Amino acid sequence: MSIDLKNVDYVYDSGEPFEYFALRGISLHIDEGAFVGVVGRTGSGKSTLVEHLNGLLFPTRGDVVVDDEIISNDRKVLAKVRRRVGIVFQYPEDQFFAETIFEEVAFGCRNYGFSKEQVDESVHRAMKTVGLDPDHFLSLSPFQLSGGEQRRVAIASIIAVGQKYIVLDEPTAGLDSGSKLAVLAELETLRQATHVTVILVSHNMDEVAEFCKQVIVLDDGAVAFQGPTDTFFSDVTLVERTGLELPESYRLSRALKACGSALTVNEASTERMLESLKLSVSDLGGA
Amino acid sequence: MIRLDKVSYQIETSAGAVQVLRDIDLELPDGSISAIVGPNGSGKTTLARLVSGLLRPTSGNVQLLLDAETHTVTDVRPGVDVGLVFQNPDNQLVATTVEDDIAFGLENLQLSHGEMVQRVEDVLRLLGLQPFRDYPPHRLSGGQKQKVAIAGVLAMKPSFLILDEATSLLDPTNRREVMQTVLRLNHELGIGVVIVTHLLDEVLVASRVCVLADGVLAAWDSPRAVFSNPAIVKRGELVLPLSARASFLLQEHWTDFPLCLTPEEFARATCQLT
Repeated sequence: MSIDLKNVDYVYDSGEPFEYFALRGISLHIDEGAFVGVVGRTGSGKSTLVEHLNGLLFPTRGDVVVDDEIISNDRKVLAKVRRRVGIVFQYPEDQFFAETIFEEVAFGCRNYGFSKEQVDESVHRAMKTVGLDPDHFLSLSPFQLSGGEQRRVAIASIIAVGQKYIVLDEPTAGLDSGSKLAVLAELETLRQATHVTVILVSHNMDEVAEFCKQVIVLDDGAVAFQGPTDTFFSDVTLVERTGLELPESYRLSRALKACGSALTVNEASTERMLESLKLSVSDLGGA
Repeated sequence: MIRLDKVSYQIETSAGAVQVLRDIDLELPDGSISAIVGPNGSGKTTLARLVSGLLRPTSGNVQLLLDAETHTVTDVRPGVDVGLVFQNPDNQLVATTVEDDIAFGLENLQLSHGEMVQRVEDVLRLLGLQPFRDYPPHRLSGGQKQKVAIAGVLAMKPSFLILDEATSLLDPTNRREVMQTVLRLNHELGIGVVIVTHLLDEVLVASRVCVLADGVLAAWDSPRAVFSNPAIVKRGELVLPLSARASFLLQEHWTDFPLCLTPEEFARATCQLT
């Protein structure tokens, strides 16, 4: 099963003076169970693309296919697609409305007609997944939490529904470095446990390098690259042309080569880099 | 200079009073660049709002020092003396076009029409927003909205600019550009800058970093001093840059290896190893 986009164009205000091509000829393929990054400069179409994945927007031309279901403005189709694809928007905690965290997280499940027991179980499981103790948090007001906790509750409210594909638009914007890593690690654990697909829209290249095996790069509404993340970051020209930057591990590895250092490192992730650095140091016979 | 003298702030909740900030003493010199860091919930945004005059301290004073010799002080006028750019631009955009949105704050300053037009023009150019001047702000991307919010604040020509994670939705290139613009304003016009951030490269441009932990000032020092102090790093829940972690690793073998904060610095230092 997969999500596929076939030659998708999206035009805002088609035929009007402000007509604007937000997406042009987008074709892409996202495998079920993958952890995929979507990157690209500000205004490159990332959020517009996201809104196509569960029928909040419909392509001006082309098709969006979720598990062989072509998304259309048909109630039955939309219900089916939205049961499969959940979206966490930018600053999702701004949409909080309930009096308790339980009500907030349970809202989506109730909409999908879960029984009382199912709601209970899903809410508890989702809270544990995002690292919040249900016994402590569920009776609190979502408004009295810190930013990091609020973001986790917002993510829990989507996870609780149990969709196959979870799309997160900048889920770590505004979180401290510790919470950023924790939230993404929790999503990775969930993915490994349940085979859920995680689609991560991000401007943070360090987290993309760390968590996404595959990356989709948008530039001016078109796909500039689609494939393994390390292949993308190995092409510095493409990275710069698309307005992005190298993750710190890649910058470090390049800087070492550029100054002719005898140390060599594995750049693919932070931990691997530090480990390879340790080996390289002992090879050099560091005292 | 903005001076914070024993500033505390508390809020009343159903569960009783919560102390958000306690006894903060800070001096932000005119034209300086400072950063505020610390975990979520440590009081960064509250501090930013207190400095900007949007919130009044429960006890203590936030004042603008006008004359150091005569100790003349005055309250901070929000927007006029200190401009604050919020985390989420949707909380700050009000008008139907980008141009009107930028002009909105100016309309309260009783400026001449010519002056207003000029200022709007200047910030549109400064932030590269000319192509979007007639756009409805809600049609822009998250990052573009953040630029509009920054433009609206800059048009007021404040003597201090506070960015509360104001670049969190920008791509790396745009973030660099906005930061370069802010640094240029600091350099050319002497605007003081306070950056609330979780991003390392934004911390590194500051001359001093205010580390908050649980509402208390845990440190007020240079970035290098902050990152080389494990106790402060721990209290402020800061994540060390990869280059710093790599430096510590090398220090196990070469005890005099320096603490490096960027990959470039690290690479240079390794090449000097014998």
